[in-house]
Amino acid sequence: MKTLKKDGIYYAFLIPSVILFVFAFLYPFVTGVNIAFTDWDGISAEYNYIGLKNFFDIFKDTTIRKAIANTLIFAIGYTAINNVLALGLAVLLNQKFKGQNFCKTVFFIPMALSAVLASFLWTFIDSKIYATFLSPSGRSILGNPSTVLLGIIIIGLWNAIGSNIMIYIAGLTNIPADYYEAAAIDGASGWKRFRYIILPLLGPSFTMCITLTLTSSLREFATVMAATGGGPANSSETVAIFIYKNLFQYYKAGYGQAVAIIFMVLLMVIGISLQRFFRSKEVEM
Amino acid sequence: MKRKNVAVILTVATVLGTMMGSMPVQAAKSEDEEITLTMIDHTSEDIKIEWEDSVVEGFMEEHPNVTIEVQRMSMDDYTQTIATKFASDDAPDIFVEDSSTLPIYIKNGYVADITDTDAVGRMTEGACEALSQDGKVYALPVSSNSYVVTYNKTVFEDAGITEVPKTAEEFYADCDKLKEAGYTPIELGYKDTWVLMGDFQTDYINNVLTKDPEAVTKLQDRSEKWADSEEWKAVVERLKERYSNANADPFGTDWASACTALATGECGMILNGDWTSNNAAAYGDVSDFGAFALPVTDNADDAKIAKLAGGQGYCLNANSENLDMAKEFLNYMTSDGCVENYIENCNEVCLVDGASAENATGSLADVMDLRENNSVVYTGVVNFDNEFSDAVLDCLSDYLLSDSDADTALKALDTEFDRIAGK
Repeated sequence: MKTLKKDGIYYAFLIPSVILFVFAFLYPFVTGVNIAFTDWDGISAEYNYIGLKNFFDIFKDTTIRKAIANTLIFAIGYTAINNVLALGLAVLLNQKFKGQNFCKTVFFIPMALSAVLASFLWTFIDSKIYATFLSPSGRSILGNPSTVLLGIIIIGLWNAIGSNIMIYIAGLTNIPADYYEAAAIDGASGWKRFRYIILPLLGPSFTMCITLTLTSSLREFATVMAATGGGPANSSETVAIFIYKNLFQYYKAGYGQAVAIIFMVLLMVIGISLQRFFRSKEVEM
Repeated sequence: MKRKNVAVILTVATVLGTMMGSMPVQAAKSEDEEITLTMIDHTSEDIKIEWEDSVVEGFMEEHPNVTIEVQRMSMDDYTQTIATKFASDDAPDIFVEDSSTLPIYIKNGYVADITDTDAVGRMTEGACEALSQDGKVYALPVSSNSYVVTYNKTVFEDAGITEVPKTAEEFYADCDKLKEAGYTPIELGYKDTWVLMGDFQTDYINNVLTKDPEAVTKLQDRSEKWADSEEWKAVVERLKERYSNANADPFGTDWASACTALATGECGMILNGDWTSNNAAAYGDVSDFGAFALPVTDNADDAKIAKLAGGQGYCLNANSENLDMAKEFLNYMTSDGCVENYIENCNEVCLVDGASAENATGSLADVMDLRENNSVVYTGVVNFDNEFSDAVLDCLSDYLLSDSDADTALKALDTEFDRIAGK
């Protein structure tokens, strides 16, 4: 009884968070799952249940294929470039040199800007500076279907690479100096030290960075919406934008919700699989 | 023990405080009941925002117990916001819809019938037709737009163009003159996708719909195919021909940049609604702009514009607690003082009966002249519905950005329209 009373006090402090969780997450989530089985247009007061029709329609919809292709190209490209660049910069920034802290700050500052603001900034640079002075054809990167995804990757990298750099720097700092000393005694070159000491011992950092970067880039919405709206000619439309259009512009909220649920399940599978894979590769120090 | 009790009390108080904050406050009841009207729209031009604000202030002065709260947002945010507000029973009293999105709100009983209001009674004949259904008017248009070629007079003079083109041959010859003089003939701002639709509409409204008012409806209900129509094929081909006379980066240029280019004399023309002049006026002098009908044949008599009914208007929430007061607001909006103010400051054709723009200058004078002497009355459907509209934009963008021909573009349009229509 005493334990119950004591624990009850602690649980009481959870009440505001639980209420927020229920109203801000659980209730909308359950409502969204319900809507996916209806023909709701997003504004009517009533709707009809149509079973699994929305889910079957996903497989018949040819327009979603381009959104899936764009999303995969963007996510894989962004994750690979982000992590390679972040690791390289982390290794460089982990060295002692004059201005080290200033350099670290330069890479972290863009993280303070929202994705929308970053998109506006780079859209201006692309159309007013690159297209006007540097582009051989006079076309901007974001206005060309063959380069628009590269443009979105550049914006995303500038805005968010700082967080992965921080995680990799923390991982590098945690590697005991003994390993470096032992490698130096054995005559290991810089590349061999990187390949056989740094990479294996950065396992936990890879688990976090690659998993988070891939799953967040698969969900990319704000940067693309602000920079191109999914254009030109749907060449940068991601699955998130496809869902948004169906929910709010085409008055097909039921169908949009069905796509969102399938997408959520896929993201969970990808996230959990990636985490398990990288966890199995981690080396104990 | 005491500290634990205090902690529990504080927690409970926090929870209760959160719940109390969301409880509605009971409205005060008195004879001069305070009324608050909420209005949401997507007006973006400064001169129109000023006019709207002056109407709101004037109405509140005449009705001291009424407060009107106005919320404005971009068009993209507006569509999503207004739909969400109606779905969550938090709809405004006054809002704006156009002829393509109004039907779904009428179908759900969200829009009030305003046929019997004084405001509608003051409109010119046919002004409200595009915003009506089954003989009932559901939205009040204040102005009507026409789709024209807006040009920079100084640029034209400098390029040696003394008269606006009346035939297609003259139009492309003038494009060549502009290029030789170092100007971009046509500025396209396709980064904002609605601009591509506006360019497309400048041709098809004036040259297809005026001959077949059902053309858009037939394409959407699939009783007609894009590929079977020589008129639509010609419109699509002309779009690409104009594209070859445009700026180097149409899909990387937004509307604001295009208007700046027109205002600062970097380009000669923009094809879109007659609001181009107002938008470009933010960067230059409105009297420096003129307007003409896009010529598409070599017969000067074919260069006409469609005299459109109002395509967008102010709607009232059918379930508003203050519907009568909201109707009074619409009536006030079309009163003499507000109309005079609109004509003087908004540089657009006003649909209120008796409103005249005798002192119109710049492109408005040209548009009024075209409407009077060189137009075809058209009150039918102008816009494609949302998903069809997006399909048109996607297929046309693909067509312009690739080497494909008009037949390929029309086939792609038919494939998309069949998919959307469920055929």
